Amino acid sequence: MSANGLSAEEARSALETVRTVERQTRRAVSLRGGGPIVTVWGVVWLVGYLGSYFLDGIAEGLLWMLANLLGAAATLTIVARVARRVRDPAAGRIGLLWLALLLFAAVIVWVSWPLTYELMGLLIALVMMFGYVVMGIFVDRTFLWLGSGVSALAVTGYLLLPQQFELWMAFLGGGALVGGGLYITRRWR
Amino acid sequence: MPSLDPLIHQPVRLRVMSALASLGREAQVEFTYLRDLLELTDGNLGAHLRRLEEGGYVRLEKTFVERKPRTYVEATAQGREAFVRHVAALEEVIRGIEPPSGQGGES
Repeated sequence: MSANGLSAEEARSALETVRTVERQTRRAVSLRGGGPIVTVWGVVWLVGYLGSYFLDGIAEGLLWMLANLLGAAATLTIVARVARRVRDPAAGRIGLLWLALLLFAAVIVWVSWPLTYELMGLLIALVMMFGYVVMGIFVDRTFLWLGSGVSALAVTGYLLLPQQFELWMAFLGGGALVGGGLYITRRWR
Repeated sequence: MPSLDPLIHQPVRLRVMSALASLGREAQVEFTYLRDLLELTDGNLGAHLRRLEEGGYVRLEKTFVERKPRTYVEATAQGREAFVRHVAALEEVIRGIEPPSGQGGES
């Protein structure tokens, strides 16, 4: 017992409380909005790749453009909503990470052109999933498993089932993102 | 040698300071976000925040966002330093080193 009337056991318990709250706060702040955003992009993949399977040419391109625009608008809405609750200048770094990844994906597709639509889809998916892996390393392991799992699914589908790649990506890639997003939302509600 | 801080050592205030100190230096959280995160009631959190504010450990900013009143909370530099000292004192108690009694407030 110390002069403050505090035993080592009580100090250990208080310190454990400190570490737990610190960990929960960092995760909650980093992941705020993360689950719904992942779910939104899962739906974008589901709709976009189903469109790629059933549509051709301009209709396919328009559907992807519309899905991506709606996905971006939904993401910005979610980010704006959660940013009202926590005002953290450092939080913009996650946004910058995704902006950088989008630019890298665009440059990779540009310098690799001409590409088949399947290969383009695979490259973009892999770059985006790399973002999930980075989030997984620094924020929460769920993103790591989601990013690695969807990447492995995408490569497997591209190599083994090239004729069914769009369907594969719609249901397994998009489905995994929807499932993962809902899981993250429920876990960090 | 760091000392235990009676103002921070109270269990709810320890959790509040842990949450606020784990954020970036200029980060602010909305009152209701902190309440939900720590699973406290409005009255309980409000009372402890007032004590911490009186001690100079947190700063409350009342503002309007989209015409709705909102209160944002952040740890001050003084609060962060006191929290670091308090955690160091807890570690010393565990290691069996005797910390001196704190001067900063009440339990």
